[in-house]
Amino acid sequence: QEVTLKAAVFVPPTTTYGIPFKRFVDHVNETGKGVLQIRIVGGPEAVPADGQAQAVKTGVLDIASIPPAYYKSVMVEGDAQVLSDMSLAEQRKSGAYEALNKIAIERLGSFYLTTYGIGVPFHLYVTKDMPVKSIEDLKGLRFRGQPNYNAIFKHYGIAGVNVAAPETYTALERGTVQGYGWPLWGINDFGWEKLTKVRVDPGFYNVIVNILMNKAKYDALTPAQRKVIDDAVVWFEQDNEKYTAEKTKETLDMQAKAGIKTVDFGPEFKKMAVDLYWDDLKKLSPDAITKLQSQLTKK
Amino acid sequence: MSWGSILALMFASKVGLLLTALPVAFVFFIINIVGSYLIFGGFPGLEQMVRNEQLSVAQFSLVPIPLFVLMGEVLFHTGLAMKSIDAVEAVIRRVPGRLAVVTLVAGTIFSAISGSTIATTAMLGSLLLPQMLQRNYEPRTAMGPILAIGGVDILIPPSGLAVLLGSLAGISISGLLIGGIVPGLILAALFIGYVVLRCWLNPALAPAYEDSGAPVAHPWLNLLLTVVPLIGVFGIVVVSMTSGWATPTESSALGALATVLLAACYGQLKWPSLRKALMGTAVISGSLLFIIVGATTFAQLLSFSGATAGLVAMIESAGLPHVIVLIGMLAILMILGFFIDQTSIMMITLPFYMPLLRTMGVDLVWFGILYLLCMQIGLLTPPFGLLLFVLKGVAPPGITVGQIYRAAIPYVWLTILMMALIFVMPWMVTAFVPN
Amino acid sequence: MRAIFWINGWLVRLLIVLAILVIVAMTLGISAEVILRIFGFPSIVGLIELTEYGLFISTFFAAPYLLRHNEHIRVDILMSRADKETARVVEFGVLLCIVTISVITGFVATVVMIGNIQNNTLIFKDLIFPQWWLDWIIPLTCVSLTLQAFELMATLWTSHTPVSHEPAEHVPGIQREEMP
Ligand code: NA
Ligand code: NA
Repeated sequence: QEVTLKAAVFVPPTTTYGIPFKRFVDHVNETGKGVLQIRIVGGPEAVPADGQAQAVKTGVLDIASIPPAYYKSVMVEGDAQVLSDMSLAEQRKSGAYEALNKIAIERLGSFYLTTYGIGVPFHLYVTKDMPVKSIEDLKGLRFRGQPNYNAIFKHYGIAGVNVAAPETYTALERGTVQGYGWPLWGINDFGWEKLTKVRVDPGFYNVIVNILMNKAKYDALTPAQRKVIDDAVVWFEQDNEKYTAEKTKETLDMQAKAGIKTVDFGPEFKKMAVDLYWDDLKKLSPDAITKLQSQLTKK
Repeated sequence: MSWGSILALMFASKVGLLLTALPVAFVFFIINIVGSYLIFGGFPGLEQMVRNEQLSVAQFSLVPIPLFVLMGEVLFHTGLAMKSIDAVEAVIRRVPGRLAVVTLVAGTIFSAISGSTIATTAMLGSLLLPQMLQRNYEPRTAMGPILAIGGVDILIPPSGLAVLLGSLAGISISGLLIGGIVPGLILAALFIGYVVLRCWLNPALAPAYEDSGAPVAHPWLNLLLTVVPLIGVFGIVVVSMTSGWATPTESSALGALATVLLAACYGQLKWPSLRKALMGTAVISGSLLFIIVGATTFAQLLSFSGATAGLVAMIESAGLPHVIVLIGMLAILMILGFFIDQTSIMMITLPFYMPLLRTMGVDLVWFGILYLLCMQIGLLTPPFGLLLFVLKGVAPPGITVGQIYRAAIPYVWLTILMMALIFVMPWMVTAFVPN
Repeated sequence: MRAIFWINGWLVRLLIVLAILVIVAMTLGISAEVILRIFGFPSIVGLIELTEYGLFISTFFAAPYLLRHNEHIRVDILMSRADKETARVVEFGVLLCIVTISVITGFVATVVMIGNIQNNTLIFKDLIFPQWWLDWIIPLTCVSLTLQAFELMATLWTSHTPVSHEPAEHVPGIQREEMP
């Protein structure tokens, strides 16, 4: 008999970070005809992103596709994956994935089916028309950022300004803020590429979006139903590497075409960003994070 | 259960419960409790509902609502409004329907400083309606302009409803606020033209009268001195937004602060009036935001059940020309406006409308202005027309609800005419919105 | 019972005063942020987050006062035409409905709060603090709403003045004595 799972994603499914999940679901629905189907009930308009992990835990949803920041309140360790320099296959091999899953099962009653966004870094983007040679030039500027930029902003003397998403375009255009932090993909979702002058390289961290599934629900599936999901995960992890590489190339071309110049602050900049964040995380959960750091960092 | 029957059931129970006079917010709550239990699933579904309620109003982009309401309330309770009405009255003298025109001109000026149509209507109604009736104005001629000015108020920033629309729909808030200025002024001019024409054709509607008050020595200078500071507050809101000093939300705080300071400069900031203004702000914004709490979960349930996606797909697949779809969408807004409040209409329709608008590729600010005009019409149409209630509340005894809504009818038609103009000439909006 | 209603009456007033203070603090805080920024000072950490919580708190804290003074927006077109006895019965039903909603919502919200206390759930944004610091708002509001609705029911039961559903009585934010 056919079972239909309810799924949600932290952004509208048709936007940059919703599309990979949509691809996963489409594959399941194609291979799982008559056995298992997934219905995307929607994005944050159906279940607020902040509430999706909890909804999977309680069984309101069966699956949710969300970054660890949205369930940091119950699982700070999730953020460790953001700082990894490993591919998904390497994370599975080193035991890190299993360790994270163990925590997720304990605190969220759910586990990671798979992850996307690995290899998509965060960047600083400057919208003010000014020469940028080193990080010193950014000192004293106002940037729109998310909480995961706080440590870097503070370290380099950049003033973090929290601007609501619908107001950001105006804030950038009018110079209320002179730059922003955002991942490599997706600045064109909001038209920000038109206002951006410089992208700071290297990028740092990974956009991590985990596909969470309720453990009890998974366990209750028949072997045939489970196989549909398991096979889809194997397919997705191979296919998504190609997709990520293509999308990244396309994004770099798009940004270059939009006239965005780049400046390279060198590898120390990236290392500093990562180290700062590890230190922050260690304050919150010393033992688990120290262990995860060794499992998530290449020797 | 199919999405169609869920949709029908949720709307039917909503309308049914509304008619029992259960407060709008609680109508949503009760449907949400039943819906969450059935659609989200059992007790966890109810927990989800409570979590969603907590998140629903904790949105920075909703902050301008209380702040814009505060601006209007301060203007009303401190007597700044009365001062400017007197100043306008001293200038406008030999015009047919003089006080009605004064209402419209003063109302347009208040529109630039009040972000709450309720405050503006209450203010004009309580200050000018008794005067007009005393001078034997025909009641409908007297009340029409008071009701009508709400439409101008919605369009000219600050505007709480424009902010709400922008934040719920993801339309540029500053775009909506700035794009509304020119259509708002044209609408005001249309209204003034209509009143003057009517009263010129039939002077009995608004008998001329001799001024009894002491004449003002330099009426134009007096007007300038009274109105310029108000325009200054308007300037603070708009300039801080366009210059990049502040985001739209922040500009609302500056505007509220400036209004209070202005009242203080005039020596009008006494504790009783400030207290009334603050209480009014908490009450008006509280009643709007409490509806948002309920309506958010309602909209989430519609989404979750698949009703939203189903309806959008159905309209998309019907393959109708864009113009027809757009007109249909606006017509639905007006029909809903007869029965439900503006906040609920936005919460219910936007999940359907925004995906459709994006696939059609229409200018969102342009559609947003048309949307706001529909909201204004809804404020004036019975049985549920908030401004009708407000005016009934401040009108002298003897004025019936029937008289009030008949007074609004010509202005509803003029607003529809304005919508038609904007529909065929989108540049009236788009030409003034940067980018 | 009367003593409880009396205490709740003061709770309702206290909550609306807190709601107003929150709105004032939001106005001043956001204005200060802009002015500081113009003069080149850094942002106030967590201000936006605080105003978001402020909006949530002021909305819920205003609700019991709105109920007490019949300021919630409602469609009374049908009820204002019904005869006095019908109107009384319906109004009784409306209040009972509000009690039911408040009891259910308050109960579920309390369960959610207890869960978050037990799991030490933290809010992680610009500010980091325990989730339950926000979780008690809805239960408290619901208690106050329930008691307020009961008080109105008791008044309705004992007095014989007709229920006033007239839209005339209902101008949001404007008290009767302020009308000209
Ligand atoms: Na206005
Ligand atoms: Na209406």
